[in-house]
Amino acid sequence: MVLITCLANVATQVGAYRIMSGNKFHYPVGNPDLPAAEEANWRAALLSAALKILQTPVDVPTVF
Amino acid sequence: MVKILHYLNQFFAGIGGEEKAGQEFLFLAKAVGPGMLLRDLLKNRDIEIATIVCGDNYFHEHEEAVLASLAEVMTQFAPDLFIAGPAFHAGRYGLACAKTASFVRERWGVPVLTGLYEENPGTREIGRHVFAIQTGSSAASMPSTIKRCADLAALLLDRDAGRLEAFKEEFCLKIPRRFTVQASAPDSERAVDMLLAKLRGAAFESEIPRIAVVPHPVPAAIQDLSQATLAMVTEGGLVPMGNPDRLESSRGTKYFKYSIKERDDLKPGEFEAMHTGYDTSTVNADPDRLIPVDAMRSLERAGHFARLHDYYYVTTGTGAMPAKMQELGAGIAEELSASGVNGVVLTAT
Amino acid sequence: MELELFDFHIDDIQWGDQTALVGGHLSVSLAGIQEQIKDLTQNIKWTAELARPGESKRIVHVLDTMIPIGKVHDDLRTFPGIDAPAQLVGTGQTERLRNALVTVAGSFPHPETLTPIEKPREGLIDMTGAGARYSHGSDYYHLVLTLEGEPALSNIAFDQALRNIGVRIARYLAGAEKSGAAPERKQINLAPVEKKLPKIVLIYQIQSQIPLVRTFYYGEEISKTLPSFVHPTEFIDGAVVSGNYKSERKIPTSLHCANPFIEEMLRRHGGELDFLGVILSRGYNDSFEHKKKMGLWSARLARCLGADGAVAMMEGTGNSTVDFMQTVKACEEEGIKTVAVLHEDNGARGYERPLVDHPREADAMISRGNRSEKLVLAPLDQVIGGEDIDLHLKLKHDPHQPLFFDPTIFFGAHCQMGASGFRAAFEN
Repeated sequence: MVLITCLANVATQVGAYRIMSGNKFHYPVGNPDLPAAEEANWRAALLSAALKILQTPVDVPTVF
Repeated sequence: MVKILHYLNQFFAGIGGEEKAGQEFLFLAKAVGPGMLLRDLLKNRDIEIATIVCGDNYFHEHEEAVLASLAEVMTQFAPDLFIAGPAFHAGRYGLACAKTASFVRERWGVPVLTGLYEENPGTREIGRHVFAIQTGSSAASMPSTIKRCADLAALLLDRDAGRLEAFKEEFCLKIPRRFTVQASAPDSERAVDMLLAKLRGAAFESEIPRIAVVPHPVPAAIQDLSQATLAMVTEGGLVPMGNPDRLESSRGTKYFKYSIKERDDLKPGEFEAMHTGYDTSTVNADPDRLIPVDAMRSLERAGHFARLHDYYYVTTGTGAMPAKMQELGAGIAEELSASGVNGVVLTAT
Repeated sequence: MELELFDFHIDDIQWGDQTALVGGHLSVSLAGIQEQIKDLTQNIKWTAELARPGESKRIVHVLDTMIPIGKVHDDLRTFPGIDAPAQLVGTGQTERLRNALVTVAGSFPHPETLTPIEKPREGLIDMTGAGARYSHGSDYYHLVLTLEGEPALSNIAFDQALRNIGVRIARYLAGAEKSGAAPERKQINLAPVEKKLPKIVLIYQIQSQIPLVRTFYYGEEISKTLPSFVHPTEFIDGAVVSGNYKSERKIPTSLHCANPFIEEMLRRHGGELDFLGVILSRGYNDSFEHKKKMGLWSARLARCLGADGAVAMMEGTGNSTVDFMQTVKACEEEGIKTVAVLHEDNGARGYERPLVDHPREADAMISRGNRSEKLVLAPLDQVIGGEDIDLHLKLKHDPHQPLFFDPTIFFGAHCQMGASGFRAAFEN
């Protein structure tokens, strides 16, 4: 599992292992300041990075 | 005359074994099984014992209804003392004992006691001021355990505070939990006192300790993502418009799954976020900003991974107790695992 | 900067023909109230009632409480920027009816259009019984104004109106004709201290995010500002006003004006410490980086003020704990020793981790108690302010029935638990 959140420091304290910083608190995988097409690309790139994290070995809670 | 209410499961009430674990809630106006030993040990007092019996499975499948029935009995019978079990190492029974004893204590304030083996999962449900006698793991020690219950019952009925403390120290389980107590001064005064001490280099004791979480084993990385099925989960409260299953907007008590089969993205007006902990307007304007169906679908098509699971899972965090969330998380994980899902993207607000 | 403060203490509140204070007896003219707020209540139905400490009364749907505070000279106004143009406050002469409150209760006209995060939360004030020690205001005399917004009014307009009504009546009562009453008189200042004493700041983190969840400084909402220095006398004169309806976790306006932390530091100023003043900061920032930066900026301001130490307290809970802890961490890293005050969420049976976020640097904590421990609350004889109790958007409860709930049902509970001297501790 990869956790996308803006509270990465809290995530490390509750024992999540693969943690990724999302955008803002109110829209972790959103970027509403961008026009729609650009936001969609931005989101695809973010999730692509998330998929790489799923393939990365870790031993301790890690913020990517 | 003193009234005692005693909770037993189907086995200790002599109704049957595992096959009778579905026994419905039953009230008996007499002592039953170990309750009879208890009554004999307290025979120099004027005691009336009544018993409630509930099957171990029945309790867990109908907990709310059982507690409601218990509430009725409490109102009508009005006992001076409540005893649950003892349950020894029996897990479902131990949980039921801990929950009924805590329920009674929290709402009626009468003295309550139970008996558990230290590894009984019921030890995680013991409420404040519930006396939990430490027992052995085997019910073979019932006679000596019931004797101890009777001794404690006597102290509780006599309200012997000093001897109760000593009894607790010697015979009860040590389950440290944090509760509200009265300090000697308001927070403002204590804060300045502590700061002045800290600045002087004098010793002080922080009132809130840092508590570490027990780590679980690290899940292995996915070796071959191109073969993997992935699913999305969120605590951000995203539900179909109209919230058909009535997900709470804070402290979710359930999780739900909703279909994203054949969807390329989530459209505004079809989904809404039920959550008091963040400003939901941006997610409502485009739900992909919380459950990224559009991005995941395009990555699936490009072959980055094999399959996007047909459902996403949702609950509501914000104000939730970690223990409840852990329970829901375990449930979601079990379902995903059974569906052949290999990895999860979890979005949190 | 110096403020001369006159505190009147009342021992009764009653309806009367005139609004006047005679000795300790405050009489309030309903016609006078009506006259004061007639232009503010065109689309608002309102009723007024009184409540006194120890009475068997439960006030529901409490939105805010204001202490009657007025400047002695008419050309100046307390609560600057609210229902009056702003002027600098914190100097001159101020009078207060110290143990009285204007309590605004009621319901918004269009709750169904509010998103979950905007919805006001229930806030009870129990004037007696088990709940009194958890309710801010249980030891005050209340003029309760229950407001009901009519459909023609928007939620935003109702929000503005209720604040203006509360402040206008607070000023009106403070300015009541007084006779036979000897106030307590204090000079409030941060005079330079003779001896070498530790220099202390109070870090005061408020909540201000969206409409209905706001805090105001001189009438401007504090969500896009940097941490700022605010003089304690400005707080006393009502420079900081609440527009936050998350009732259990909010700092009511009355507590902004008469804050126990500010009062404690003023009391010890020149004796055990050198109180430098207050750093007003804001939590609930919407990214980790922004939370960290508020912490850095607060620490930098404390350092520039010359602080040796800080007491930090916050309004709110949940993710705002992260902003708060980032502030504590940043101060400690700047060499400013910090004590932080917080409530705990140990769960109903005491097993849960107390805090959302707890870094190593927060090694000097003051607890306000376990706010998730359930209480048995008997019904009280009279209910003011509404017909039901809203159990945090999930259920409605009949206020005449016993209630089994945690302290988060009470108005200003976080602050009041601290003020009542509650803390949490391990028990077997």
